[in-house]
Amino acid sequence: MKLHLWTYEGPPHVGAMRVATGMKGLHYVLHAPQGDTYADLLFTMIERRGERPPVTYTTFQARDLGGDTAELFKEAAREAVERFQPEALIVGA
Amino acid sequence: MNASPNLRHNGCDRPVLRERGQREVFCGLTGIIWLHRKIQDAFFLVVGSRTCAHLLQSAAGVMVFAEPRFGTAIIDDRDLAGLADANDELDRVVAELLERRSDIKLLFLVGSCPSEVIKLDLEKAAERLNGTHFPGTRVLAYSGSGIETTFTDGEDTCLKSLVPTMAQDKAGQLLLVGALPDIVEDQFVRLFRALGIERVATLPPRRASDIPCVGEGTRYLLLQPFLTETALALEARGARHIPALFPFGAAGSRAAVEAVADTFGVRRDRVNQVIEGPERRAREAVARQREFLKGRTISFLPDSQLEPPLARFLSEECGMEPIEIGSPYINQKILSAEMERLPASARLSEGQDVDKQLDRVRADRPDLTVCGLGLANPLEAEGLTTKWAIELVFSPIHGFEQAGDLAELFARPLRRAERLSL
Repeated sequence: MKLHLWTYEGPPHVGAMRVATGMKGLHYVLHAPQGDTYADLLFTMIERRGERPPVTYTTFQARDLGGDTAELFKEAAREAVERFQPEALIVGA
Repeated sequence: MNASPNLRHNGCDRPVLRERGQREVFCGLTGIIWLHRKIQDAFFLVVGSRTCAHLLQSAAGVMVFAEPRFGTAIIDDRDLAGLADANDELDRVVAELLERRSDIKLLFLVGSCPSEVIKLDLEKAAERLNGTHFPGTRVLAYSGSGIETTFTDGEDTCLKSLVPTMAQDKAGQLLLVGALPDIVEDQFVRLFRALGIERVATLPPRRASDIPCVGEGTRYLLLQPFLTETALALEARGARHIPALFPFGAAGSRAAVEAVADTFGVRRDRVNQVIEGPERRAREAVARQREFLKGRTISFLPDSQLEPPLARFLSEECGMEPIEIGSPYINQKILSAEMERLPASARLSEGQDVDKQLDRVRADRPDLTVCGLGLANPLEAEGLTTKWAIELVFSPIHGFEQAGDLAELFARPLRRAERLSL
């Protein structure tokens, strides 16, 4: 465990988001808790992109952890494919 | 005195569209950004991941202090692999921090998704650390994790953690609950003292040494609608809720003041005398914006739980027409007075499935969409005018003196859009 007071180093999935936003026809499904969508604003606010990053988050909550989060993930992936019709899908957690 | 009705009750008096799916909202950790400014000798130590640290950096990155009052104890691979006892590691990090920073009188251990998932018991850790560091520094724990809290819930869990530290005192007092900018809080305290209420206290306090008392004589007014758990904890200590509209706009502020006055037996003519000036200023300031705002449509995407009272203010006092009022959670008990006054035509939604919600926004095409920072520029690119919801949490918007500014916050993006389209 290490104390960080200021850190500009993002977590690896933000790097994967950068790859996804840099390509066309790619969609990223991220198994992530509520709040991880903060990363969207790195692209919409800081980079001022006019579109949302091509990322779907599962937004799992405490009550989901007792059950089958795999189902939640599969459902999010199915819905993302249906809605965004990507040529390729990357998944992350 | 009768016990207040159950504040957790979410009885549905009007239809609410409940959705589950991707939520485009912050987690409760984000509350640290305004809480650390409010409690001036507190430090907020998130026990979490690199993602938590990055969130705080991204959300609060504009403020770089030499000695910041929040940080992250990042749980690393050694902790996760069980090679290092996470509790020993936490004790070490806290000892190092407090040794270097004698100005910290109140240390919050803030739980996160990773600390919840590995079941690190921070309340127990806080108890243990108090054994070492109290009374120099008091250590408390609360959860800001995204799996349990949505954005402003982080203030609720923080304030709830303070309630057990409040000294028992059954004397009569008014307790104002909710972190407001100091200047706005001072206005409320002055106003209630002018009504003749001698003991007016605030939660959270500005300093660790000023934690208010609580007891059977305490009557509390919620200044924010998202303080469900704090309210329950205060009730358990004997305090009683003063049901009221939230003090937004002239009417909301008058209703809140009247509710307090009735509770404390202050006569209505005295109330009228005290608020005459502020109320007139509020009405005049709002009237100037109403001319511009009336008849315009607005949709709120879920963000802070402030959405229902703000929609009430905008429809009643500014003549705006809410199409959808989305909120992460609608506590119909705390909001009961607000719910009755929302226009019947408005669609209420709770929770979120962001893609479906954006479909509705595109179909509704409101004149103004209040939304988070991840959605604003993409919606602008689609020709919709947006207001950043987070500004409503950071700006002084409560009470008579801020009513005009509150209305103007909604007028500004509409005026800008009109100027750009000419």
